[in-house]
Amino acid sequence: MLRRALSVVNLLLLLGIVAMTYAAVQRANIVVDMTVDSRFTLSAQSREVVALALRNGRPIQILGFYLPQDVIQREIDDQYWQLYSSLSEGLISRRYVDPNVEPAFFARYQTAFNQGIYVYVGYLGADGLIDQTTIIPVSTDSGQEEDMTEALSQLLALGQFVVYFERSLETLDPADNQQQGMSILNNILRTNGIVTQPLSLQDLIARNQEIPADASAVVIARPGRRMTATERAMLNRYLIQGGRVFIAADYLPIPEAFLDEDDPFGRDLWDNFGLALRDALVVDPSASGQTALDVLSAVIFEDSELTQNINKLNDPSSVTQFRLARPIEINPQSSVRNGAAIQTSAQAWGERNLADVIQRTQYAYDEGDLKGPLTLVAWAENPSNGARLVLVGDGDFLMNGQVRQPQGNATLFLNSIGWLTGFAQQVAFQPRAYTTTPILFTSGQQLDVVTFITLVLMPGLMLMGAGLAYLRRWRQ
Amino acid sequence: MIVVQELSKYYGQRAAIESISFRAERGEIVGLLGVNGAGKSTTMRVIAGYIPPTRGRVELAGHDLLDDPLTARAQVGYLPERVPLYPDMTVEGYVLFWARLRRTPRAAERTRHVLERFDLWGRRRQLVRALSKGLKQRLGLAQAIVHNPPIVILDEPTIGIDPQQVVEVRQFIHELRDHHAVLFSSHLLAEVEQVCDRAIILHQGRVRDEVRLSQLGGVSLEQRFMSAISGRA
Amino acid sequence: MRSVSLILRREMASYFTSPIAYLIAAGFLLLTGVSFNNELTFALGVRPLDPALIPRLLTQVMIFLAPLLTMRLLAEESREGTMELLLTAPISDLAIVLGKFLSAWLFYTLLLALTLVYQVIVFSVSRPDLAHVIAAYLGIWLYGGATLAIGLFFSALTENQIVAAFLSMVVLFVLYIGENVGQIVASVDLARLIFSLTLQGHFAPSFAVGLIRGEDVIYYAGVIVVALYLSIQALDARRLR
Repeated sequence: MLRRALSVVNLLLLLGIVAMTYAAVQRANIVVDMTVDSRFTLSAQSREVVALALRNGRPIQILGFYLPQDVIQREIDDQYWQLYSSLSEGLISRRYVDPNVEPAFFARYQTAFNQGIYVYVGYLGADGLIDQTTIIPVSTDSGQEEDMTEALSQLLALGQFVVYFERSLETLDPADNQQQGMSILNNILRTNGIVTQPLSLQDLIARNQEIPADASAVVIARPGRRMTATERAMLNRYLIQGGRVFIAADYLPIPEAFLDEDDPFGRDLWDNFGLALRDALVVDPSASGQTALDVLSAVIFEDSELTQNINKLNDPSSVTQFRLARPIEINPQSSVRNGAAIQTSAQAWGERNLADVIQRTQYAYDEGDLKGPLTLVAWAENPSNGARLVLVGDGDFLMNGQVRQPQGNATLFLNSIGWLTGFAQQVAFQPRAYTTTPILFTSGQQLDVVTFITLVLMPGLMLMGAGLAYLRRWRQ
Repeated sequence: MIVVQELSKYYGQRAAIESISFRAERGEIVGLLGVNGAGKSTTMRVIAGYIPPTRGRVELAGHDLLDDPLTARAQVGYLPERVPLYPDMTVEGYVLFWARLRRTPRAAERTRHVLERFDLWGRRRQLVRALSKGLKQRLGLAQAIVHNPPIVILDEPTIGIDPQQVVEVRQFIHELRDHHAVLFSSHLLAEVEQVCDRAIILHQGRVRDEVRLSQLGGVSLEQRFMSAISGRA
Repeated sequence: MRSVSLILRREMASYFTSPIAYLIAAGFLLLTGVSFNNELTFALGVRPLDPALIPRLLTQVMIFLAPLLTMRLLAEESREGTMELLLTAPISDLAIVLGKFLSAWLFYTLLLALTLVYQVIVFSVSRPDLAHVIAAYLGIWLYGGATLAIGLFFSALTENQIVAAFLSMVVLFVLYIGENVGQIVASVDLARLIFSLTLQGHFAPSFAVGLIRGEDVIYYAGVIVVALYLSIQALDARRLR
């Protein structure tokens, strides 16, 4: 009896030692990151962002919603989130909420949760809860660190960037959520922490004001009328002071259209930035959507910030598509830096016989048409005053009906705003140099050899071993 | 060599053996005699160190079994009633395994020696499973003495084998006398009479009588046995 | 520790003289091979192969494999009567249990080593994350050790191999399903507690993603130590019978 009791005591003692060692080691948080790209170690950029948060000093909370069945995901995510907590010495805290336990709190996040957004960052309010006006969703489309560092950068950049949508030139309405509105792009900017405001050149003149100094960029989306001389002067003044302007203009078969070849503003752009919109419609028989007038991005200049994530390999929806687009002429001799971002294929041409295209949808290459490849998106930057310009030969592509599919259209707009405002520079996560590569077989034959080795040869050898062992035993 | 004092083993309230005491010296073959269930196997298992006793003391070649179990156990060669074999080992591998496990000096040589002694050397590469019952019995004896222990314990070593083999086994036990203290059990009167120097008669877990076979003095072992087990304790 | 190595070597020899070990290896290779080829077709040209592919699979396979490898270790000794000789030999119970355990672990290690052929293939056609592979294999090696120690305990508990295998399978299954336990309990904290007690809970969030955490190593080592201690106790109880 004593023996039994003793062994039970010993067992409990042993369990106690194991449990205590476990707890001690867990507290010490001894972790070796074995991944080749140190995925579980914060990169220099993330450390910089955390340092920025520490200088800022406002407590930040990472808020995560995990159901009981997502406990593995939570464990894995927490491996990352705790890196931010410990590096910021607790300034960045973590809160995990079980939607089942706090359904009322969760209600606000339900829709996003169902779409796969379950982590947020935001400043902590005085009440100890996350401040709803500063909340930034953490996307889940890249790695945990990339997503979190980008979200933190956005949080830190909150309110720093203001984008104005020009409204008095009969432009697209950023508040309109119909097909012809551009609320989608506006909302994406807002969820990224960028402040968006309407702006009317007309009103500014009436009130004798200038374009606000806090404008990170001005968007002129498919204007329906030409600027007046005073409006044009105001926009030029803004640009000379280092302004940033995004212009997406269609060809309109009306007199005195915005940036037609007679528009004096067109001359300003040519003189100041070496870019000009031509009165022609792009026809690309080799890189087009439903008709040759639906021009897809055939050539992209990969060194440009504007074309990031456009025309991705194996992702057909990452192209841009412009309907009835105008070509852009670039003056390489201009005094400023400029260039093309997206071009048509070499088979495209710019149809100058506009009436035939518009009225009868007839087009054919003939003498006087512009020869491809033609520029569809161009950029220019004046290093002396900091002015930046993005010019797109199509305005419709910004409409809600066009940015859903293909996704490249939205990407182009966001990239443009990112470049114009400098926002992208500030929040973008420089991806690590991933050194792993996917599996590539040079021939199907090679794959057959692998299948043979792994499924026939190796198990077969073992079966032969079994047979030999059996025979040896049987012979006895 | 073997000193057993007041040895008892209880299973719950039931005594399997009760206050057993005896001694056995080198050069002596001691037989445990008793009917089935008399406590012969239990006694041997306790002495071999398999079952811890409830009470009492066992000393093996000067080492107390409870105080220093590993050294004490090393003094014993043991063949349980059911011959324990690894069917998938070779004859030589089997004996060598036990020799090494018991830290026998020059284990390979000793193994060869005992296998030759038991006429098994020629079958050394055979698998144990392929041996006949008699050969298996001999193999069991081989493992019991391969480490040349001062004490050999054999639990009913002649059970279930053919008469010729029985003779051989008895012959072998006789030979052991010169260098070992042998404790051996049987329920056959004739066998004990023939093999042993001394017989301890066990009945219902107790020692009923101890007989030096050379000093029977006209009375037969059978008579001593019958009177021992019929008398009240 | 000489006796440990003797028992270990005897066990290894008995694994390889019986056809069963080869049949187990063949089945094991077929199972992992199918999974490997399947993953290969999905990953081909698109992404690197999951370095933890085989280890992840083995977390499930070990529920059945561990009892298979350990059921006879002590149960058979009891059945054949050799246990009586082992327990009367001048070796400690610890040496017996350790020798048996290490033999099963070594055999499992050999099986694991066979799957390295897949890694060699992957290396020849891509640049995978070698250290991640090492972490995952280290994890599943420890995981396997823990499951084998549990299997050994049940083998020590009973003379009947089938019963031993069945009981350890039940226990391993219960220790495994921590992954899904969240679906039946309502509270995250309870789910996390249960999760941290399960075998899977110390593999999936760390070793499988390329992390070696001290606490996970302690967990598996702890399971092994406790299971071996219990096996020694069970062996000791056998003497009392």
